[in-house]
Amino acid sequence: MKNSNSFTKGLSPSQRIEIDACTQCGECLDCCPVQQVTKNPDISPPEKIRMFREFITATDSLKAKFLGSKEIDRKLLDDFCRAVFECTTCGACGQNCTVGIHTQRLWPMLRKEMVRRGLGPIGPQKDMPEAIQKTGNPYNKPAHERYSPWFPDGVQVAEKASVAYYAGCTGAYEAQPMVKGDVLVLHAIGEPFTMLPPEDEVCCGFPLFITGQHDMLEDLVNRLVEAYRARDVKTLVCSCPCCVNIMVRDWPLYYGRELPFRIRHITQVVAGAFASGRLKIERELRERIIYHDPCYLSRGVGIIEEPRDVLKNIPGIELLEFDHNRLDSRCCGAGGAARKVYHENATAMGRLTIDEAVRKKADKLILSCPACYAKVHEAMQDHDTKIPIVDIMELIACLLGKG
Amino acid sequence: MGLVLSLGFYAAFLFFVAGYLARMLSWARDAPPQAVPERNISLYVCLSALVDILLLRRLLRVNDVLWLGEWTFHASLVILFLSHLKYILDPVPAIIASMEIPARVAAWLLPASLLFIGVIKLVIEKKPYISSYNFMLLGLMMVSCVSGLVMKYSFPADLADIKHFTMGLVTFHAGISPGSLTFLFHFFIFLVILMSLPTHIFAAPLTMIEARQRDDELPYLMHEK
Repeated sequence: MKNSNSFTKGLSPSQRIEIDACTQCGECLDCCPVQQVTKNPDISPPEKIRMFREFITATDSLKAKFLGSKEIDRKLLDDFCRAVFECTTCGACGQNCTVGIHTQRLWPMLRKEMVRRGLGPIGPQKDMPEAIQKTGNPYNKPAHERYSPWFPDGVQVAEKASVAYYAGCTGAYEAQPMVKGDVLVLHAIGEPFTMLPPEDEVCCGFPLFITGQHDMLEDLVNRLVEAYRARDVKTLVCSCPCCVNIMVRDWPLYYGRELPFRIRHITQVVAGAFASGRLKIERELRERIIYHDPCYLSRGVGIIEEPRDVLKNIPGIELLEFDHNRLDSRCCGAGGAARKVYHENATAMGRLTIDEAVRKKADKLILSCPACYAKVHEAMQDHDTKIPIVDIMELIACLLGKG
Repeated sequence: MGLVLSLGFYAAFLFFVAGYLARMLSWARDAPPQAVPERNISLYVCLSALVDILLLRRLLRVNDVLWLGEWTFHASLVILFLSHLKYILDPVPAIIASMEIPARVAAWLLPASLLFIGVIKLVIEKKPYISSYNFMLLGLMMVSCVSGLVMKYSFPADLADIKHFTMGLVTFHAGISPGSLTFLFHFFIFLVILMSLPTHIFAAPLTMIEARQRDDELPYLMHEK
């Protein structure tokens, strides 16, 4: 018999097992960025799982089946809701989990359960569905301004092409030098590419997915996939790690079948262009640069070496690494749609990134995520440590003489 | 007394089995459609996952000092569990009978590793998150270990009586309970532990297999094989 009160309704069998698998060892706290800045174990990964287990025991256990579900303490629900929404969903806890729980996928599903119960999302996250419905983006900005403020002159976009570029909402509205750099570098490669008209390039669905608001996802995904299919697209290129993540991992589910094109992160395309000789940087840059791995790009979809390959094509540079790099990368604070809700946490995390880059005597901090780009820039305001922050494609475009 | 102990054992065992069966059934009930289709697990993944499980490799990667204590604890527990099977098997298989010496070592290593884990977590690393449930369980284990050692070295119980009683339990012929108070205490603590066993003992190995599969697939998620 179906239990509508069940807390595990939206979880996959693997995720249900994961909830039971947590040993509560607490080792993940050492790498949790939220713990680093809040020092609050009440919102830590094992505590979230402990609380969620209490909900399951109250509603789904053998005892609950025979004696009826127990009323769940409202405070416990509120505490859990806060903990799960304060998380940046960066997945560092899962990467360091002693039993291998895939937390980067688990936390969004627990958020979805809170949304189903009317307890989430939190703050401005609630306005996202309406904004996306109205404007196509979660920032409630006019659709016709999606490209116009930053789209470079002289770059032609094909009506139809086998390669398409998806700018993404955060890049288009909050990290414009980044998307401008993307387009300039794609143009420099010389292969024709297409883009959807600004009104048609709607949200990829990630902000809704990550905040547990899944109702519109099927519609958004179908609109986008069909629009690209109509343009004969075979490769969809995107620079935003969050967009790429949902495209690769979840679009096939919402589309109902395999996508008619492959998804590529822009660094894959550009690294390929360098390797094949279609791109070459002549200009030397005698600088020490440090690259930050976005959580949803490295841990999320395994794009780790390509950004480094791209940067190594710059003559004269010295590439530095953060202490936590590649799969062990530390969140810059922008993850999980928490940056505009738990602003202080996000700023503190962003400053940890800046401080480490400065401590390592880097001349530039290189990012490859629009959310990181917006947040780390914001975190540097009123901060005593400063460093030039540059997106990877912004830098490449500049060195190609296109910026 | 024998009947009471036997009923206690059956109740605790039933509680343990029913609880776990219910949990396992709930894992698969009304599952929503998944983005990632069902995958075949390769032999490489199986073997790697087996090593992950047997060596607690994921823990080793994040905390090698704690790993030493945890691995010793888990290995000692398995050895003691296997050697205790001699009380419910007749005849005793040679492999179980041959575990006498490893079991004697494990009987000391188990409490030592528990102490080590406690000191690492509470004193040396001063962990900000301590699970009270885990510590209660470790405390029960410690009490069980100490009572076992006391029974072995200070107040020996009649092993023939114990075997008679435990064989009665598994053959559903409740026998007379052994007279040793230390045994009764040791047995009682065992029942409490049986009812308090954490859900991760069955779930964590499954999650570790899944994690190994995921690690294996990640490089190919956006790259051609």
